[in-house]
Amino acid sequence: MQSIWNNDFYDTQPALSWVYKLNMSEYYDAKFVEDFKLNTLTDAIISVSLGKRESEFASVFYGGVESKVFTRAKTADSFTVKFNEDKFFTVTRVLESIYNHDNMNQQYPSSTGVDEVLYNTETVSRDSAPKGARKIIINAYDPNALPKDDLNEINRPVFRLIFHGCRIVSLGEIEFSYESTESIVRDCTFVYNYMQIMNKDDLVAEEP
Amino acid sequence: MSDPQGTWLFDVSFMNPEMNVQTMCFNDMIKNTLIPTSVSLPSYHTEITTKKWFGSEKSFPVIRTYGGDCTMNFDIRSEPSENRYTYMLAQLNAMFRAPNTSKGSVSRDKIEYHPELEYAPAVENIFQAVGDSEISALKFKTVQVRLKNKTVAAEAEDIGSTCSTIYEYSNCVITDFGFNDDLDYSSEGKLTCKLTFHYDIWHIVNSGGKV
Repeated sequence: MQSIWNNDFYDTQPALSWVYKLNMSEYYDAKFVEDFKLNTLTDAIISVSLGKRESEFASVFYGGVESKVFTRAKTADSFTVKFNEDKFFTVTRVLESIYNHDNMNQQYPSSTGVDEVLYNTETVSRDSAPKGARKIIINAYDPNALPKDDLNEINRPVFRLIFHGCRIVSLGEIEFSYESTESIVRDCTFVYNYMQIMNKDDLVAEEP
Repeated sequence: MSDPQGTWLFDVSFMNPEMNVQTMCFNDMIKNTLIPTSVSLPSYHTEITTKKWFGSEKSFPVIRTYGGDCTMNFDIRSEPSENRYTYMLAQLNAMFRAPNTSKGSVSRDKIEYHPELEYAPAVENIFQAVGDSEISALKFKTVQVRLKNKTVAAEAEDIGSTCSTIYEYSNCVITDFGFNDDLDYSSEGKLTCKLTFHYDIWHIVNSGGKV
C-alpha cells in the first residue's frame, strides 16, 4: 500500500527553519571582527531570507509558438536580515560602523570644524580600514542532533550557505512611536557577488 | 502506594538564588503574610508540522514551548499593615502617580515614571531596593509552587520530607493584577485579589530524591 509510512523520505525529520545560526567571523579579518563586535549580529539575528536562484531567458517566437532561450544565470543578488535591537542600540552601532567603513568614509564635524567632511567614496587612505573576505555564512544544523552535553557538537552543520563579497546596500528605518508597544527591529540588506552551498557530504569532507 | 495528591496541599514561595538581606526579608514576609487560595499549575505545548503524501499524513515535532501564564488568587487581610508585603508584591506601592497640577509647588507629588521598567538584568537581585526600601520591579527570577504531602503540618520547614513536587517558574513578569470582588453591602463574601504573571520556562525541582 502506498503510504507516507512506507515512504523512506519521511523517515527523516523535516528541515526546521529555526535551527540555524549566522556566522560573521569571516566578514572582516579576525581583529576587526572583534573590534566591530560582529558577533553581536549572530546573537541578535531574528530572521533572514536567502538562497534564491534565478536565471534569465529570452523569448523566441516563430509560427505562433514561443520558446525560451537561456541567456544567463544570475550570480549576484541581495538578502535582508532582521535584528532585534537592545536598549543601547548596539546593533545599529555595529551596522553603522560596517556601513561607514565599507561604503563611506564618514567623519562627524568636530568642535573645531576641522573634520567636517563626509566622503562618499573610498578616497581617503584605507590603510587602517578593516579588510577581510566579506563572507557571510549561514549554518543549518540537524534538529535531531542538537547538543545535550557536548557543546562543540553545534559546530557541525549539515548545510551551509556562504555569501561572498557582501556589502551593506541599505539599513532599514527606525520607527519611534508613542502609539506602539513593539520593540525595535532593524532591517539590513546585504548584496553579494555569488553564493556557495555546502551540503552534509561537502562539510564532512572539509573536516580535518 | 500513596494517596492521590490533594489540590489543597500546596504553598507558594518567591525565590531568588542571589537574594540579599533585604530581598530575603521581603520574601520571608511575603510567605508569612500572603494568603494564597489558588495557583494555576504549568503546562507545555509542542508545535507540530504535518506532512502529507499520497492520501496519508505523518506529523513531526517542530519545537516545544514552556511559557505561559500563572494566575494566583489570594485573600486580603483586614488589618492594613498586614497587607504591606502583599501589596508590595503586587506593586501597589510603586505606581505611576498623577502629577499635582500646581506646577512649581514644593509640595508637588513625586511622579514615579514606569516602575515596571526599573530592573537591571545585570544585577542578580531582581527585587531592587529603591528609595525608602520600596521593592520596585515587576519581574522576579523564580516562583516556586510546592505540592505537599500529608506530613505538612508536622514538619512545615523540612522541604525534603513535606514536598512531593516543586514546580519552579522562571523569569516571571507580573502582567495583570486586580480584585476579584466588588464591595457589596448585601454580600457576606471576602475580598480577594488576582495576580497573573507570565513565565518563559518551568521545570520540576528535585525535592529530596522524590522526583
